[in-house]
Amino acid sequence: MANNKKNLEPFDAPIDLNEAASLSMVKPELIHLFLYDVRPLPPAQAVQVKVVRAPGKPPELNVKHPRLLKEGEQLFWTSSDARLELRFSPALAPFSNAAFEVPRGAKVYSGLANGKFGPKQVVRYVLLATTTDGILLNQQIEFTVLHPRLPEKPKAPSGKTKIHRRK
Amino acid sequence: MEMVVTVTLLKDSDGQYSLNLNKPTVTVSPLYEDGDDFDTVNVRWLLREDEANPNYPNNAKQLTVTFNTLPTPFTLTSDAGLPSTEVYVAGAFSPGIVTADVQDLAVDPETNAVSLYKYTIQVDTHDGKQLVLDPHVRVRRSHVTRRDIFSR
Repeated sequence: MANNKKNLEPFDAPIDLNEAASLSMVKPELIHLFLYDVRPLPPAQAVQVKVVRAPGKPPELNVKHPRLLKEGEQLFWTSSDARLELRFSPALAPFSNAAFEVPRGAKVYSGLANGKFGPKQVVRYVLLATTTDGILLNQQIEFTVLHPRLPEKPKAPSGKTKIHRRK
Repeated sequence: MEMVVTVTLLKDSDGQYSLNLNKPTVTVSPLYEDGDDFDTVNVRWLLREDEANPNYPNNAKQLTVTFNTLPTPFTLTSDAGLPSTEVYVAGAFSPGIVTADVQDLAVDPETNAVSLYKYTIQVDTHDGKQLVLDPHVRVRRSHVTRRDIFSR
C-alpha cells in the first residue's frame, strides 16, 4: 500500500516522460505526431467570409474564395463576423463529408478532395452565414477541383497482332 | 498552440462500433507557455478510424462537436445570446475543426482557478449509426505547457 504511488497521481499526470529537459527538445508538433499520430496539415487555402454593413442597407456577404483547388490542397472556412454552414450535394461532394459547420472565430478544414469525379470537377455549394444579431445570409459558391490523372493501364494486345508460329 | 483531441472510430466484425478519445478531458488555458514564448491556445478535434476496422476506411462519416451551454471557453464575447448552442461539424479523415482562442473570461482570475465545460461528441457512420460521448474541456488559469500535451 505504501508503494501504491500511481493511485496518488493527479489524472493529468504526464504519461511516461518526466524529464523537463527531454520535453524541451521535442517540438509540440512532434509530440502530437509521435503520441497521437497527428500528421502536419496539408496546404490549405482560406475561405474568408465577412459581413459588410452599410447604413440603411441590409448586411451583405463578402466571400473571398479560391477559384481553383489543386491536387494535394484543401480548403478551410473561417469568419470573424458570422457562424458558417456549408452544404454540398451529398451525391457530388468532393470531400469526405457534404456538411460543415463552424462558429465565429473558429476554422473547419475540408480535408483533401476525394477524386471521385474525374480529373476536373466544377463544384457548387451553398454557404450560409448567421450574423451575431441573428440575420441569415446565403451565397452560392462555385470553384474547380483538380485531381491527378490516374496512370493509364498498359493496353492489352489487339486481336490483329500477328502470331508467328514455328514450323 | 493547438491541443489536439483525436476521435477514433472502432468497429468489430459484427458491425458494432465504439469510440476512442485520446483526451476525454482536454486541459487548456488562455495562455500557452514554452520557455520564453507565450501563445494563445486552441483545441482541434479530428475524426479518423482504426485501420483494423472491417470496411476501413469507409465507416466514419461525420464528426459533430456540440456545446449546449454558452458561453463555451471559445465563444467570442459579442455572441451573447446567439445562438443557443455552439456546433462544429466536419468530415472524417480531415484535419477537422479548430476553435477560436480560449477566452480569458473562460476561467476565474485567481491563480488556481479551474473550470470544466461539458460538451458532446457525435460520430455518424456511413451505415447510419450514431455514437455519442460526453467529454469535457478543462480551463485552467495557470498556463499550459508542453507537459500538458502529454497529459491524459
